[in-house]
Amino acid sequence: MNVFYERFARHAGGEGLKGQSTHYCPGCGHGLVHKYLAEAIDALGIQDRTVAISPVGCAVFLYYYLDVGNVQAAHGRAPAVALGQKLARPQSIVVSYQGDGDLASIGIAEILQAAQLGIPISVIFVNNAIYGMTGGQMAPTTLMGQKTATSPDGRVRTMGEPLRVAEMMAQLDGPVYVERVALFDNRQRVRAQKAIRKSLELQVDNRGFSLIEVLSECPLHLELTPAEAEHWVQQNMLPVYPLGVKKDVTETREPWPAWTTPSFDPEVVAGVIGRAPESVPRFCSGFPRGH
Amino acid sequence: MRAATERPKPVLVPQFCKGCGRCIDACAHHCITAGTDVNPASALIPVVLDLERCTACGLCFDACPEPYGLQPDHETPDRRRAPAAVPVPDTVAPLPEGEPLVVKGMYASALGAIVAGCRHFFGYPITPSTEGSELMAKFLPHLDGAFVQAVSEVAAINMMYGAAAAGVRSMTFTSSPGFSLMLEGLSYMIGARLPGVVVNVMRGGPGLGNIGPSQSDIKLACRGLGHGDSHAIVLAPATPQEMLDLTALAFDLAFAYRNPVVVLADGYLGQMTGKVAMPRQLTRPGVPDWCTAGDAAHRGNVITSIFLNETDLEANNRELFATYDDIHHAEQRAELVACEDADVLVVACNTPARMAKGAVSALRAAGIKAGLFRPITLWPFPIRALTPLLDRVDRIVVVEASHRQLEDELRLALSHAGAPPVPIERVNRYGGILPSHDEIVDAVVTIGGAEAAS
Repeated sequence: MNVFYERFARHAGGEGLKGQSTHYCPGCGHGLVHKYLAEAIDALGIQDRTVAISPVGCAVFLYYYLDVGNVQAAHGRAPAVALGQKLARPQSIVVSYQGDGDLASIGIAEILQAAQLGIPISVIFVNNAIYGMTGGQMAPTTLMGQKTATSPDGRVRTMGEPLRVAEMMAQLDGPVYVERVALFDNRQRVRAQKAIRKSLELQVDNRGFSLIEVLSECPLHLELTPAEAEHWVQQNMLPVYPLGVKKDVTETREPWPAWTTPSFDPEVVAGVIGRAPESVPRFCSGFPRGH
Repeated sequence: MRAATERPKPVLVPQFCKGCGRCIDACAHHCITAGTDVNPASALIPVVLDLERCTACGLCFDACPEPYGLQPDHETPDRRRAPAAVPVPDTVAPLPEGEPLVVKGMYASALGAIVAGCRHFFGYPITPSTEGSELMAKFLPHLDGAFVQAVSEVAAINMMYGAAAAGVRSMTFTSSPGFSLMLEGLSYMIGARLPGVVVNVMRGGPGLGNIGPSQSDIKLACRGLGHGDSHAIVLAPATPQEMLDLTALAFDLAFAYRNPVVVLADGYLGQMTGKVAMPRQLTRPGVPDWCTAGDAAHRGNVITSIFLNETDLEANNRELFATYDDIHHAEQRAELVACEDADVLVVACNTPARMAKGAVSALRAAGIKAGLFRPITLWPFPIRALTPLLDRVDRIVVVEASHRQLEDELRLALSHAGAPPVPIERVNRYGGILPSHDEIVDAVVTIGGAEAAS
């Protein structure tokens, strides 16, 4: 394991315990997801190429830990930032890491577009059914009846229905791979490790966009022990968020075209500029024809 | 599968164990139990290992959320430090000479971006800026660049954030309502010290307003780039040629100061066709040392605007303000027309400056000593070029297509410079209408000046 920084210098200056300890609460699933990400990056030998886009929320400090290129994004915008990074440096392996408030609420437009563009990036979506960083408020993924700081008597119909992101993504044409995994027992953890690794592999092979939804535990805001929180995810989240591969067209879909390097050749530029700017069509020449 | 004897058993560094106990259930042989003693270093209760029955299955490692909690025994990580990145400087290459082009302002601006080395464009269509995006959509595929029509202006500016983090020159074209949506992203870019160019072709507001020319985003560009103490250089072109030149300059300034640059045009300027000479050279951008280029040399970099520790954020902001000071010192730009002996100064920018130029010329022909002071940088306001003129100036007439927004920039700059009080009058038009030549002439000859002639 060498993809974690030897000392977390960005975590309160790396002084004392914080130099090798995360900011996460005991039993939080984020640490496991970080670990599987680090292991996959190590196994694939892509540490130098990897750029991690950290979200807003508890995982905002992903860049404290992962010894890769790090970019921190605004709330919900990580997929847009990831696309900018990927298009600017296509050889980079871009991981967009988001929680449920980030991806499924404020950032729903950005993730939909990124998925439909299909450009090879890896989205790790951590679903713990709650807003963690802001203190346990209702998320788009909060279960019906679940009590949170902003659904104190439990989520009811007037607060909207839980959003099944993996199923929604699987309906889109853009992604090549979508899977929902969990962390609550050994078997699930092995599957989560494999799924995260597969997502990165698909990007290394330039296959396309993939999204791994990870059902995770937030013991603090569920007001449960870590063991109880694992049980809660299994008992309560699984019926709403069934696990498994939701979409896999990696075998049938053509890989993404090879990336090219932008041209700064004066002759090429002059030739392009010579394409008569005024000839850009300003009006449509007819009604679109049906397929 | 490896033989059990080859596999490492776990070791625990107790102070890095938060005692969550996720490893307890993971172990089939009950080697791990909840602890009872508080660790003096962490003030938490770590688990206790009894490895007599341990088969080194390794499942407990995968259940521990802490990177340095439960670890395989005797594992010495193979670690490669990220080497320090060395900046690759920009270079220039001569462009083949050619006849001047006759193009509209939006096209001129896009051409400026191309010669400045911009190959990444992210935008959302909005009138009256769209032709710029259309030209980029046409050009960039031939230059192996990237054109993305984003799902919104919010997404577009964040794609710029990502491209800028990766160290490339990126831009967008937008117009006032779209610019409002980009302010969040601009604040993040400023906070994260990221360069990029936003060309805002101002139209009538507030709200949906209309698609006529306006200058009513001067306040936003100069004083309101999202939350925080955020500022960016604001360039105000007045001709199609300047749409090209200032867009190209914007990229150099953005990367020189690691801060976004706003090119503030108006709807007429975007649509106005004019003769445009191409620059003699183009820029081949280098690779900054601070970016996330996705390679070994840049692995150690982080791009972020969050500084949790208050003193860290204050230090970051002080650096930002030092950059602002440098900008104020080095980047004030203005055009002065017949100002040396002027009794009345007309202050105007963008298309209204063209009307003002004509008005000054007519006033001079009538024997009135009028001059035009045209700020090219609205932020920083070019006060150093203005103050020497104030000794003999009787009045200033600010001409603008907004409600005193340019005038407020002028007044702030005069106040900060401790300039002597000068009567300031104004010609303001709104709602997609620009001040006319006659209105400006009337305002200058009418001592005590009219409010707007409208």
